[in-house]
Amino acid sequence: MEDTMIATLEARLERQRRRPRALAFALRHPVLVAGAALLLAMLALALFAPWIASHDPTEMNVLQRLKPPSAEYLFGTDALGRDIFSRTLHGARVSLLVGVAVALLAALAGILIGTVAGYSRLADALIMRVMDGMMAIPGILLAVALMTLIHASIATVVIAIALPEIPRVVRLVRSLVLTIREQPYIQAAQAMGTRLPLILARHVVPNLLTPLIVQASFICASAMIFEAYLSFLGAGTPPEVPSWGNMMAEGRSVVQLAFGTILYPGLFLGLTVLAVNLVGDGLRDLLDPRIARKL
Amino acid sequence: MNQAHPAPILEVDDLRIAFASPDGIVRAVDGVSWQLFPGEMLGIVGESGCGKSVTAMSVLRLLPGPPAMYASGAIRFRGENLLDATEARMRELRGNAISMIFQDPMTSLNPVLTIGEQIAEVLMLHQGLGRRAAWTRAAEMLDLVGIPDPQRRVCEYPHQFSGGMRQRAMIALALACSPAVLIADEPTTALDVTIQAQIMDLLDRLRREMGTAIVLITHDLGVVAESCDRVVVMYAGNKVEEAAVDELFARPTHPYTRGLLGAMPDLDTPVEAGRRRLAEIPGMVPSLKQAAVGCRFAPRCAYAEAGCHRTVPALAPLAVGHAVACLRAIDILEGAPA
Amino acid sequence: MNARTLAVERAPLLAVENLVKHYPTRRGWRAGPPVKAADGISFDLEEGETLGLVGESGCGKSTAAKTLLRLIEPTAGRIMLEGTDLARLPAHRFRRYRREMQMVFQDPYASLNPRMRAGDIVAEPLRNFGWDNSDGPARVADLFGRVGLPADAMRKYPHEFSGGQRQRLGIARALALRPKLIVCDEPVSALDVSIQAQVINLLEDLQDELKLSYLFVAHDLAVVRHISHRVAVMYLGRIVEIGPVEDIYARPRHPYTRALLSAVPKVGGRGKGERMLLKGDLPSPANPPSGCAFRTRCPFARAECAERAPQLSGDGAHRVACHFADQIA
Repeated sequence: MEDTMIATLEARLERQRRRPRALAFALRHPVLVAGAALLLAMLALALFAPWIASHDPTEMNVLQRLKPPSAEYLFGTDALGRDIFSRTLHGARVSLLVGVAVALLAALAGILIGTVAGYSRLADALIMRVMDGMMAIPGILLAVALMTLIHASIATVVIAIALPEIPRVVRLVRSLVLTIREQPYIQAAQAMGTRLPLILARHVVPNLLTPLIVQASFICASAMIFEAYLSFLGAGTPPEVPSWGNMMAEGRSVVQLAFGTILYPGLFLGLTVLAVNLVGDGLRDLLDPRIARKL
Repeated sequence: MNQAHPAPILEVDDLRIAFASPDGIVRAVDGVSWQLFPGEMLGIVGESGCGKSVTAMSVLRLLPGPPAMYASGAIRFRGENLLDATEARMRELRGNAISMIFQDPMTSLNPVLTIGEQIAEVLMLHQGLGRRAAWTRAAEMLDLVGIPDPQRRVCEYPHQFSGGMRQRAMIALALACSPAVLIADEPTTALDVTIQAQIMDLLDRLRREMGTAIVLITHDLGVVAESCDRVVVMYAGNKVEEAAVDELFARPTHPYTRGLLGAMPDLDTPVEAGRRRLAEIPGMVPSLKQAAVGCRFAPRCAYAEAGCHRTVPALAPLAVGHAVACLRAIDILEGAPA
Repeated sequence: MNARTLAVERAPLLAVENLVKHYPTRRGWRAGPPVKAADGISFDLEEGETLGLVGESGCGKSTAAKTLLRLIEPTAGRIMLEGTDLARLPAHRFRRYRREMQMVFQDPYASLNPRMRAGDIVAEPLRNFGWDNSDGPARVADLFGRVGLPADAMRKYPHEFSGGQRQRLGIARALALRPKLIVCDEPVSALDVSIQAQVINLLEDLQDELKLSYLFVAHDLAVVRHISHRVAVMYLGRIVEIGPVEDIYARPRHPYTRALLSAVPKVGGRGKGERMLLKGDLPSPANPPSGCAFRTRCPFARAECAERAPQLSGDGAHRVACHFADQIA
């Protein structure tokens, strides 16, 4: 009885041991690996867009307006005779750039403000009231208002999208800091005479990063959608930039003639957001020790 | 407690529990047998990772099943092998004929239900009592475990109870259906000594009054010495020694048992004699991922010989009711030097 | 061994006088009665001596210990370390005295930053007070050796160690600054018996070698008896009895000390009749009983106990806070 039991287990383990490590990892974290593969593919397309694209994304050709997909124009052309395939590839650059930049900006601002709030009672009261105020304004309104005030460029879009995200990150960081500062290893650092700035840099912030990375990936995904919203409303990236939002905004009026004008940027946006969300979910499971490692 | 025993009420027979971890099979319990007789308190002692809690959990089948974990051997409750029982049958037994109390009462009491509701629920489920009867009985149970003002306390929530009170409430919950067997897994580890004394006193009284047989799982030899009838000492998934409690403390034989006793500071040796250096058991508990080739304790054992590293020692009787799994048991008893 | 016979005439290394820590509470909008976690604690500690501080959870022993290091700011009282009152120093001047007093924590895992390597953990206090590149690494290696950790352990992370090794790491860190006093807050209560013995022996060896003083906070009376020269028993924020270890354990005079000692299960066996079972639980430190805080659970309590709080008194080293200590014994 015992022999069969151990033998069954041995056999299972042996099968697993024989698997290449990469495969073993993929089987244990399918969501993460699927998301990462999709995301890497998107990144590659974005990075190598100038070489993959068959046309200049801004090159207009009035003779080739609203063409259906063909060998020359893989996804067809839009109302100005531009190649949708090339524009979609270049749009990935804008989308991913905006997504990553917003996530980084929001995370950095969040760490800075949230840590101060978590460590100073006075600053906390002030900061959290400001954050509450910011959260009371719908994010899209805040972003549109900002965009009308400042000159439109990718940098301003990033700021406009990141700003409404900051309060949520600050809240997360603050609550994490409040937990971490009660940990015995913080008291231990105090007891051995570590000064506050070093305690923050060495003991608090590194222990914030894990949950924050997960949060940042979700911010990245929502920022990409947000960018598309803003561009669609005409308050986003400048119209000459081939972003997915701009493409869909321009395609709106001709959608009945050339469905591809909206289909392809929409599809790519959806896939990219899905990929980032999958990576976020996968990271959360990977980094959270509470979710037991299954065989 | 030797000859006149009736049939054991609970019998663990050559229990083996193995679970798969990414880097190997962990033999958490490696062929352990013991018997529990009606009305007795059996102590299972050992340090963390020795398999004592896993054994206890497996009696109620609270462990994950295959493929995560495999169990073989038998756990017989009144002759019925629980390892083969259906899940429905287990639900019938849990909290009714066999109950369990845990180290941390807060994790096993539901924070959003009053104590009374929780006890009454068990009674209505297993004993078919009506609502009013169940509540009356719940208050009686609280009274029985020494909670003052039980009529008021049944309507309170777990967070309104102090640590000791919660453990009493959990004992009331576990004993509500007058189980035949109570498994107490480190019931006093989280409590202060004065409260621990109260709880152990309570368990002892309830055992006498209700005839419940108790398996007490603990790391504290002192608690075992004061409360148990018999003791099983576990190390690294094996039973290394078993004896009646007086016999064990009078003639501890397995080097691990001796090591544990030597490592415990005590309250009896006169202080004036100066500091006695505590006996250390060198090294650490071995990994359970390899099959045992010799005695699991041999690498840490002062008495180990070449043979100990090659042969897995079988459990051998030393006296009536006293068994030891050590090749050098006789030498040690005869006073061989370490 | 002979560390027990200490010179009494010398000024103590540490003298704590009337240490108080009250936590404010709120009842709705108004301030409620403060929680008296430590309510007037006084004791001395000599060089090379271990004072055991025992009591049940919630008695304030950990608060008292952390207040000494100003990990918790005291509400009142004096902490005299070699003649300097640490309680009143401004934070920037106090920092210097951290070198003299270090701490070993209860939970050996939670007190180590999970994202730092063992070598960096032990080096951190050295870096705080002037790291010397020529001497630092050797000092860290020496500390690892001293607490019985292999040198290759320096590159590991805390989760790669066993419980006992983690506590050794915590001890190495506490030793790094060559302190005179180490506050040990339940240093072995999370460890298995055999590992506990290793750590206790290590602490004793270090004391003999380095002439350390320990304030040893614990709830395990057998461990405290083993390691301490003197013992203070706390109940609800106050010391109810203090004295040399042999007096406290052989001739306890406070009813609480007696109850505590009789509650410890003993391997040697003992008639059940000897046990003095306490009724009920610890009262709330926010609302302690009037007079003697122990009177609600004391089998000897009389009317007078509710009226007057007893003060620590007695001749010589063994002092007790009980009105009827002489009659009870």
